[in-house]
Amino acid sequence: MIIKKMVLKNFFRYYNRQEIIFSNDTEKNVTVIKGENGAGKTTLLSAFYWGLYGDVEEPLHIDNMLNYMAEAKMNNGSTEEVFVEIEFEDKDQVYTIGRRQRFIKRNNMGIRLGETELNVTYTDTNGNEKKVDYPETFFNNIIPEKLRGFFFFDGERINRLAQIDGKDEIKKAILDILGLTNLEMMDKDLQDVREELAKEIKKYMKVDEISLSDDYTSKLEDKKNFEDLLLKRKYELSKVLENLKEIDNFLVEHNSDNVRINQKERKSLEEDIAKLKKRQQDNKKELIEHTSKNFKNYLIAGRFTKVSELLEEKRKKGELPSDIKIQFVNDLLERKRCICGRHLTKGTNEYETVYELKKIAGRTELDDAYIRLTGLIQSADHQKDSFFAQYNKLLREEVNIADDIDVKSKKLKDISDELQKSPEEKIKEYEELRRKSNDDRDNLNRTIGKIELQLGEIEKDLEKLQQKLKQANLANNQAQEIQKQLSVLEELGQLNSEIRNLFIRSTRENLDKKIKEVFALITRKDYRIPVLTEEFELKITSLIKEDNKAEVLSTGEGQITSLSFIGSLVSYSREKAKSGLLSDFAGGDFPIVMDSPFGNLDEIHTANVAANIGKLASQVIIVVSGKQWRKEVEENIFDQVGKMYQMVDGEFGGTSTGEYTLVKEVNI
Amino acid sequence: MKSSLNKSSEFEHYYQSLGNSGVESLFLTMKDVFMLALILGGIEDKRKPFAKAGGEPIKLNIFSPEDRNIMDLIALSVTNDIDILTKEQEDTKFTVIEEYANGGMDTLINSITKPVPTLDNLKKFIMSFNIDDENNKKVDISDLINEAINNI
Repeated sequence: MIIKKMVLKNFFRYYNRQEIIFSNDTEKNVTVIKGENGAGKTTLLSAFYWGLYGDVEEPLHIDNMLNYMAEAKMNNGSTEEVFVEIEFEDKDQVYTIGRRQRFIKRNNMGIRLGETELNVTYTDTNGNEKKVDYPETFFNNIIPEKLRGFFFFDGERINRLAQIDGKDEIKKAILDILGLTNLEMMDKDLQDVREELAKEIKKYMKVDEISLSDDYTSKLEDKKNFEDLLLKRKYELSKVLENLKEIDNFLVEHNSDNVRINQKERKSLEEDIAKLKKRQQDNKKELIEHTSKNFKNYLIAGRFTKVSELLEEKRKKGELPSDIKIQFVNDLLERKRCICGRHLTKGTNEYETVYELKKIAGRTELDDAYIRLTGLIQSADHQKDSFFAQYNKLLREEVNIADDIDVKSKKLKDISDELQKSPEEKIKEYEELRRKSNDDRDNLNRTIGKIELQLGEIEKDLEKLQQKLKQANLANNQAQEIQKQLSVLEELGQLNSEIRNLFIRSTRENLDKKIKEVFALITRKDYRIPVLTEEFELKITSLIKEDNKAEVLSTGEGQITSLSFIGSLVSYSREKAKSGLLSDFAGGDFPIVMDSPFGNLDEIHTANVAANIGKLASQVIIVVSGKQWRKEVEENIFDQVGKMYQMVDGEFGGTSTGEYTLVKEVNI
Repeated sequence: MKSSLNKSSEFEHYYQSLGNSGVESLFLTMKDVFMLALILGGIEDKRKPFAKAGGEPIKLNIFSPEDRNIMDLIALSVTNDIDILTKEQEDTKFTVIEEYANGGMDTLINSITKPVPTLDNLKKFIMSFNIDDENNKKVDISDLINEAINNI
């Protein structure tokens, strides 16, 4: 998608008709719009929102969108219109989206007249203008509304992506943009069809089979309900975690030294406890492994003396291991000749003598067993002491860890008690809220665990019921046919989920690679490396630290990390679309529209972002203030700029009716 | 020739919960539960035939060479007949093994699954074997196990 043109009429600060033509050049793909504070830079972002999605960003409000100057020039009873028209190209087709709102002046005030009109038109292959039938949902199919924040955004506010809370947002974005929600929807569709077929098959079933099928259908419904519930609880949990983070931020940045120090200590205690709990788990695993592997040897040691005696007796008698083997005796008898050369004919003394040897001759497998068992008994006796030596060591370690956790938990409680006694009401209030949020978090985690357990059980039951249904002796062909379809659906469902998981994994790996590339272009600290973790957290690690722990980011660093993510997402999504792989739903070519991209950045980051901004997407539109348009921006961005505009204050024409903005093209 | 060993349906769910329930398992695998039960059955000389097998049988090739040696040790101990270890009697030997493991399961589940399987129960059970061997050489093992059970 490439945005070609935007026309604004009487939209907030933009008086009368204003037109911006964006650069479509593949090399010089950046359009710069410069404006001073208050000139309507952020309003331009809202023009995109209103045009494409029908709403505006706070503090703007649709009721006040009629330009002040236009309103002033109206007579009571006369009407005026506000419109935003955006022309863009997507997959070789040019579309125009126009949104229009009429206003009427009554009692010297412009008020909205009628509903907002929306029109989407395109030119067909014969050159005829055509109207899109469902304009309201049209653009949502190109960039879903929930994703617009990734393509039209305020540069100063995107640093949130590089925070833990941002991970669900990131995961969702990846799934949505790369079309993975289609796979999820397919899953849902498959389930719906399964339910339908399960109902259908009942018509052809015997009584007991019907109850089986009812059971199956109701389990499917249960599954759906539990999945919905799980989503809800996870969402609630994410909100609680957000709250906790906000509280912690408030406390850690508080102007009282005492509060700040307490909060820092609490953070470090919480981290210690998390590590100890991990060690506790590892220790438990080790204990289980040690028991499973070695307890049996301990148990047998010294307890099977009867066997040792039996084997010893056999050894003394010379039976085990035997001096002579049955096979050897059999061979002599078969060859009818002894090794001493005598003939062995049945009925002779020589034959009988050799034949008698079979009674004391041993068998290879028993000799083997003798060697194995005596070896086992000896080694068990040798290792006997080592079992409890290691076992007791692990138990002591367990007690030590539990003690450490106790001590640290007590300290945590002391800190919380101290903060709750704070003379400042706000601290008390936050601390109380923190305790409550911690309880909520624990409860929600438990609830989520329970739901997941129940879901696992339902899955197992469904599998069993499916097996039973398969085995049911279905009365007629039709029922058998439906049963076959059900089995195919089941397999499709499994395949779909395998594909989905594989796709998520490979997408995350590829994106991680891309983010590293983009980040390396922008950062001035080349020892810092961004990582998109398996949990979809975007974090920065340091090459000069060994613990691979996430670094604490400044706002500026958060901003470039987020920018790297968006740039990577856009470029990855474009490559995916071009590759043709799963092309119906994978990826697309998207522009980036950014307000204040250099807002919180220092000089070097600013220069690096400016030098690489055009590489972030096929088309980049940036809105900057004069202050942000510094020397290092101008020098580095210049070769990439295809169009440039300046927002200027309009002339009042002698009447003091208010300010308005004109957008004028600047020759480059 | 047997290629796997059966568990009785009576204890199948214990096998699952003790050795096949992910992070909640108290043993690495169901095979480890089987081996411990077998040794306990052997020590107590408790044989418990069963008519109905439960769940998937455990493939013989899952057992380590050491496990197979322990099976031979128990088979020899309970039959007192070296011929139980010959090829001809292999199937009989494995039936003996299955039935002794089944007998040992009684002891194991009584000790560690009441009311639910917990690591603490397992720990107590294991610690009940931690005796000073020098002073207790002649103690009867089945008494010890009974005592351990009573203590839980």
